[in-house]
Amino acid sequence: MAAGGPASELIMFIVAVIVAGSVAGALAYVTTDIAHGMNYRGTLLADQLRTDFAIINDPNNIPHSNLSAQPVNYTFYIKNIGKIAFPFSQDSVQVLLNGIMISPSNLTFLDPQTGAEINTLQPYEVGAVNVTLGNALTSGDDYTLTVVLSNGERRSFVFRAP
Amino acid sequence: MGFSVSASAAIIFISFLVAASTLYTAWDNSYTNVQAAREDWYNLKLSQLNTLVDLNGTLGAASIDDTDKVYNVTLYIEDYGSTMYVKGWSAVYDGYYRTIYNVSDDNVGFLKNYTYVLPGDTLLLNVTNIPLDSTHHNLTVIFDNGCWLRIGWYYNGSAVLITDRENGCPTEVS
Repeated sequence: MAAGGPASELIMFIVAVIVAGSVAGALAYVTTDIAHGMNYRGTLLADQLRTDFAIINDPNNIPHSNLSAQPVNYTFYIKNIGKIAFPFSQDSVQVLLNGIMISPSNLTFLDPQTGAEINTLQPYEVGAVNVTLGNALTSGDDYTLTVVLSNGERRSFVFRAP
Repeated sequence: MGFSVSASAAIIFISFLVAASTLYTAWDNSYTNVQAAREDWYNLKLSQLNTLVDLNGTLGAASIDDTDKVYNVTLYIEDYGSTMYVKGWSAVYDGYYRTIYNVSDDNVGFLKNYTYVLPGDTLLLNVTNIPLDSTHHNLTVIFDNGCWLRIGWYYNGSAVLITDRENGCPTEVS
């Protein structure tokens, strides 16, 4: 019993340090998690602000394949006017025509100069989206093309079908 | 007992300090990053607001080649707005994309290797080998910030006439 005093003091000390360490560890874990979230959210927001693009077609003159042969291809030009590159592929870009989503398998993303497929669009670069439709659009009617990037940036473009 | 309390209090206090500094660093990084991006966004919008590029006169020059039945047009494009980066410009001629910095790879291009256009500068833009008929042609020059200048013309049998010219900047529905 005589040794009970220091032993219990030691046990109390160890328990107190373990409890305080656990609280500190939990706090560090939660803090790191919040810090990662803040960094991620900040980067996402900054990327959204730095991403911008324009659909640069002549709305009265959309390049197309033979309208009487099915399927019909229409070509739309996208220019990166932002500060950073963005993904430019079937997996990352959605295209809607009059609000109806075009299946990714009907989209081709090309370099308009070489005709080669591309995956990203650098600042100032122009990329072409080939939209393949089963039937030709009604000639003379107005349509709205909406392009949505992977980060949610979207632009709409009204054109007259050739 | 007293030492246990002091030790645990010290551990928790230090962990609070570490947590606060971690959170502050993360917040500061995010804030700086977003502020810089916001600055870029404002610069783009300001650049679009200060963009004013138009033809200097009705048409620069036109040369008609009766032998090959083609004609060439040189458009005098003047910058009435702020300084712009010409290497970032693109063109759409009769609906199709054309490189604008090189006239030899297609029929549309600058006469010189421009990098920047300063306020008041005039750029000479050539469109060559246009079939000598009355077809209406259309050229859209798209600037580095997405704004554009669209020019239409045709050959009336004796001269080349500008039919329309419009300019604008990207909006949600353009």
